[in-house]
Amino acid sequence: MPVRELVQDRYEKTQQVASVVDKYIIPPRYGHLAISGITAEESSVLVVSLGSANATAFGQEWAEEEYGADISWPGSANATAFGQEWAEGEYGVYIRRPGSANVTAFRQPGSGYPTTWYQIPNEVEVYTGYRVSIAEYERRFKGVDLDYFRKVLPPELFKAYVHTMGSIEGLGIKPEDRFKGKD
Amino acid sequence: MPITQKHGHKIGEEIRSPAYIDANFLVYYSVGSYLVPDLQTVARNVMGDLLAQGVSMLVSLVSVEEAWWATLEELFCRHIWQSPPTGEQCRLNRKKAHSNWAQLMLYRSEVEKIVENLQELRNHGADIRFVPEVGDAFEVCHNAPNLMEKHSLFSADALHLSLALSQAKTLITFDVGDFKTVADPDQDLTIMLLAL
Repeated sequence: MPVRELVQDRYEKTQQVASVVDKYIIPPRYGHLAISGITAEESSVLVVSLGSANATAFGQEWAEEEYGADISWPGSANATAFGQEWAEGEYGVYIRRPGSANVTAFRQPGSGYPTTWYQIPNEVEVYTGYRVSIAEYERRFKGVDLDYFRKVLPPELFKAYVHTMGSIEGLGIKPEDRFKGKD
Repeated sequence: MPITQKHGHKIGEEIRSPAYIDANFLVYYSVGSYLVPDLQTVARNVMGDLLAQGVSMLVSLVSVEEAWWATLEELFCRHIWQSPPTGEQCRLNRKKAHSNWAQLMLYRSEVEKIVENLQELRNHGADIRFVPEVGDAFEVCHNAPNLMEKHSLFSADALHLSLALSQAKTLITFDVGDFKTVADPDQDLTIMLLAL
């Protein structure tokens, strides 16, 4: 699914989630896949963030009585942050009370409000058969006009272009133990 | 046509062929930058245009050597801090890196992708070749000290410029400062400066 459609798809699903938790949201920033909004009249803040690592990833300070929601999915980096293993096909919305770092502050699936669950994809298909996670997509392709280059480049060259750009990540190699540098 | 300096690039804008590729362009395309992530977006869009326009890309061993170094530094910086570091943190890391060159080769497979990526693009139709060819190397090396003296350039930058002057119409670089003194009405070259 092209990323614009994917974002729209997620936005629509998130709107459904927002209606469930009865708060307001503002449109997502394209490519960031995060949605946030403020309901000043209730002195509360709702942040619906797709794939954020933890509550602090909402990018703001939380005042008393403010609440946050996070949507997670199995295998994403934040899945363990909720203090549970996710079974295949489980997706959820969690409500968090700010100021509480304890993961138990998150509502567990099926434990009450909210109870509606939505399946949200966590991958982007850049070209047929080549899928990357949302995080990898952001790291490698954010701001690159892939729609334009998909049209103007020969298919095989476009694939090579996509495959090579940002391909050097280096994560997974931890030099701290081996690297004994001189200060 | 004289040496001219052109700041920035809009997608679809014509790039004169052939284009000489500076080291930082290779790094931002394949690796990116923790400190200035927007630069990788620029490099990747420009690469798209180079490919779309069929521009011949000229790469030198000087660019590769500098790109390897920069890649090692960038990866080391990423892993030490696990998040965007400050400039001071990077400076300290690089001081360590420079004193422990061999150990940084634990990133070897990643570093090798700099050239492998170019090879993959070429295998799928991109016009990429290494310069200088054997016959030109003496001339390029001979001219570099002249450029160092004339434009107050470092040796690597002088080699970049000498190579570009010998075979390219465009020199693509992110290091605005490196070539800011370069101007010559008798030479035909566009220096494309991509820093934000």
